[in-house]
Amino acid sequence: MCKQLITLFSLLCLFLTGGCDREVEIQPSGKVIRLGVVGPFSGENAGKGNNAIEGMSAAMQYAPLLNNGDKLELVIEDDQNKPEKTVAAVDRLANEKHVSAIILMSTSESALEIRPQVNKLEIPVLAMLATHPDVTRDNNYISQLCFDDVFQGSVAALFVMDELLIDMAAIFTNPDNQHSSILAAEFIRKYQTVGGKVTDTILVNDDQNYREKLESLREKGTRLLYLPVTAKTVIEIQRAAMEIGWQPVIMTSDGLAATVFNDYRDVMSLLEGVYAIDFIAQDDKTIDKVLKNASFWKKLDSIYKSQNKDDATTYTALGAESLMLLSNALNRCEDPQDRSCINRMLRNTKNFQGLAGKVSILDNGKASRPLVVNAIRDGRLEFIVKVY
Amino acid sequence: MTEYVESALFICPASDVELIERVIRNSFATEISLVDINDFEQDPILVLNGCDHVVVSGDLAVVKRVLKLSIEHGFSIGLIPQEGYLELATSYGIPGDPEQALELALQKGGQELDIVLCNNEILLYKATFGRLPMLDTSPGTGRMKMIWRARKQFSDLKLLKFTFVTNNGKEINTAACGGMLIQQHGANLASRRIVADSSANDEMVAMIISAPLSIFAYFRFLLQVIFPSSYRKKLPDTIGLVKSKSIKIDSEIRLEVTIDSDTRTQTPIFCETLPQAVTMNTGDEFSARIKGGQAGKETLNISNLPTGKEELNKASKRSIPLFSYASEERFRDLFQALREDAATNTIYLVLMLLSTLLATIGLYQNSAAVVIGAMLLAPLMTPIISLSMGILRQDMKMSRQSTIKIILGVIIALLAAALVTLIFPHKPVTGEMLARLNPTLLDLGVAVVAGIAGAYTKAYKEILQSLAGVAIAVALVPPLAVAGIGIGRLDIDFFSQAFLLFSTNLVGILLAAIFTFRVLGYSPAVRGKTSMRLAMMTMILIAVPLYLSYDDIVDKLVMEKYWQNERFLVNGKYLIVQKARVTTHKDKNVMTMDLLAREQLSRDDLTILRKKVETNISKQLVIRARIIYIP
Repeated sequence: MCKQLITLFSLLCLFLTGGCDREVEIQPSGKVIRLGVVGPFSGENAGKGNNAIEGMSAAMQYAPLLNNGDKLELVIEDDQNKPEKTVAAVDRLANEKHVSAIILMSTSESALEIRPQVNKLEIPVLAMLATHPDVTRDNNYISQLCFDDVFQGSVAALFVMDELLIDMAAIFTNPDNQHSSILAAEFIRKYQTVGGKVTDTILVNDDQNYREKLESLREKGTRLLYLPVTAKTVIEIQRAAMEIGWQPVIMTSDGLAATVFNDYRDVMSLLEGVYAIDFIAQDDKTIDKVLKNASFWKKLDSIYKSQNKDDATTYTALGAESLMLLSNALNRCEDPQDRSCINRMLRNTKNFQGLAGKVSILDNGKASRPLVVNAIRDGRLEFIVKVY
Repeated sequence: MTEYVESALFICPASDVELIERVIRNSFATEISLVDINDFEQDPILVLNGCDHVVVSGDLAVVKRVLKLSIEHGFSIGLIPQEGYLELATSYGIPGDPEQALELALQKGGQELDIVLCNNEILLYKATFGRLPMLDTSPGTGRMKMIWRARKQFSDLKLLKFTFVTNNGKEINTAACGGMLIQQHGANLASRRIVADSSANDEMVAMIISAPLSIFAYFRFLLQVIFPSSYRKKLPDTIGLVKSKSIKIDSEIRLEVTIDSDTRTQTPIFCETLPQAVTMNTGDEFSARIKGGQAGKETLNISNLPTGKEELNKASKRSIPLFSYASEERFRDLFQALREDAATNTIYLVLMLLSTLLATIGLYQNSAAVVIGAMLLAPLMTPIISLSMGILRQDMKMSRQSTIKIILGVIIALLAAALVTLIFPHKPVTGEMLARLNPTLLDLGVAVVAGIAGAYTKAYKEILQSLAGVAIAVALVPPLAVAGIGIGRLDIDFFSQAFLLFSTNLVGILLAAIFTFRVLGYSPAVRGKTSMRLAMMTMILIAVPLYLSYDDIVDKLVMEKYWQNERFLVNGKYLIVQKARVTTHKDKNVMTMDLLAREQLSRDDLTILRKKVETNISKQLVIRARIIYIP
């Protein structure tokens, strides 16, 4: 009787351990699917591209094969985040390297520039960082992975008004940068709609004396500065505020923490307490929730950590996420080289489990995904709220 | 003024040339004759040749050989401890500095000391028999080695039957895992704590007998040794203490006895004190400690030792359990009180009725104060505690009686609350009622802690007044009253939710109280296998639905917490989730969100909101939104 029970128990254990959560091993088909990657890998924006490539490498290591056994291969082109170079790179990838789809790591200026080109080439492009609302306009082949600037600008204004309860704000914006301009315009529009008062809008340029401007803003009773500007400008403004002994609440835009981490790490402490909108949080509150639900993100995380000493930045996370999402679209096509099918499937992405929540791509190529409001603490993005 | 002996013999290993040189050339004008211990033993009188002082430097065995000769021939002794025999130096207060030790060794007028002989072997510090994990370690044993050895000893710690006979002829039949005979109480931490009043010239040998009923109890004893309380005058409750001029020890099986961590003999063993048998030069501290020492009285402190039949039967060769057991004899009062609590009587029934009526009215009034009053009045806690003891001790009568009492109380409460509800013309659902419709993990936490507290207060009469606080904390009657209201309203969901809370409390208290009584050592000494299996099965049967229920509760809590940091932008309108609460209604999970919004929300906005929520939740939920507008 005892032996029978032991046998039964052993069989049960075998069934339970063998039957649960076992992944089906994919056999290589011998076929290679090429995916183009265009981004800044040299020049002043190199940090973005290199971070994203690290995330992609981790994703490739986690899932090197598609479900049909085809192997993924990345063909990388450096455009230094310059639109004219992006056009040339896309052309090369589509016509000479015969890639199935392209992941674009460059910013909105590049994405806007290639709109007519990709329509003509009929090649699907997943824009990883381009947040301009017009990136998906007048073309059928660019899809965004990010939320757009209108969403971000609105959330920033409403968060400041309804959660920080601050109704006197000033905005710094760079008129030469579309990303900055749209965020500032949307912030002002929404902020004023809900009763907030904009004390001043300051256009930044290279030889600005921020001390004077800040003195003036302080006198006007400004309590918050909205800074959709480069990391370098944010640091300069923060330094000037400290010099005049003023501590206004500061709200910044996406990617700031990652850029400071890459390029200005030694002054990271200057940004302590600054609010930053982003795609992820680094204090594990957001990531943990996802990791508990998605084993692949957990494995991806451990792969990345085994390769790198530094924390993953926003760009790293987006790099991994873009490749996983594109692979997901490829897997839903019978022929993973069929660009038309890939584009269709990309724009039919529903509830893909991203790092900070579900990501969907709508028919018009726009992404529906949550945005995370963080505060920078000890050089990391500490989760405050998530906005859907 | 210090006087020194004119002449002395010196016994020392020939290899220690430096020490020999130093002793011979001493600056105290003492004439030294170097002698070999073997020669000395062969013809002591010849070797002494009128000399009445011997200085010895050697290992413990050599010192004991000299002591034996001293007992016979009456010469005084000076000690110069060798390197590696620190225990010898410290126990007699001899300075560590060789020059100072030499000065002390050559002084006149030593201290008269008792000598204890165990099976004719000299006992200088301690002798151990049986097992005393962590306490019977030899000096110099490494910490890791000591822990490893103790781990092995703990795994096989047994109570064995012993018979001890004192000098006055008192025979003690008991069971113990081991013991320690102590001559020098300063030589060991445990002996310093327990027999602090003993001295080396009180003509007594002290014996500590360790009889832990569980590993847990032994650990508690070790903690008491390491962290003694200044107010604690009594012995640790697993320890017996005997002090007598002689002690005879016999055990049911032959046990090894280690004397001074060196010599080994076996039980039976006879230890006797030879009063003032030797004169030795000891340090000032040691001399002060034993100054005024006088012949002690035979002491028997054995009330902590198992002597009852039930306990001695338990003391077979089986390893002692992790937690203690208790005999009827030891806790007669407590068991008697619990039996009385288990019996149903009119007072209980009346109190149950009154407390339910009070709770029901308080619930309708939405008055927390009245509901708390009802909690204080409620007598339901006592039969639950009795039931826990009944289950633990497989006392079928106590279990049956307390179960009947609980069931009767529950029926009275349900009927009374239902009746009040039927009589009341208006049946509002108040906040106090709603608070008892969704048991959460915190309710379980309260029940478990209250169960522990309930059992604890019952076990110790001196803190019995705290039982009122326990009753408030656990609040058994209000959920029952709400369940009764559910019956009166003919609302099965209302009834089942509240009754689930009551069941959670009941099972939580029951399990926690069983565990507490077990830890406190109230489980039976002799356990029938069948009843143990039955108890285990009951525990598992209770645990399974409880686990499933808690799993659900945890899921809900996680979800509630998750959504409290979430925001929505719906058609440009910013919605702040202030609070989210998941409840069950008609078998469906309903998430009610309190939303802060600045603008009026349209039907379209709410539809988008619902879709966004549903997209990000893997579970099926019915969404309800309560909008609070920001002006």
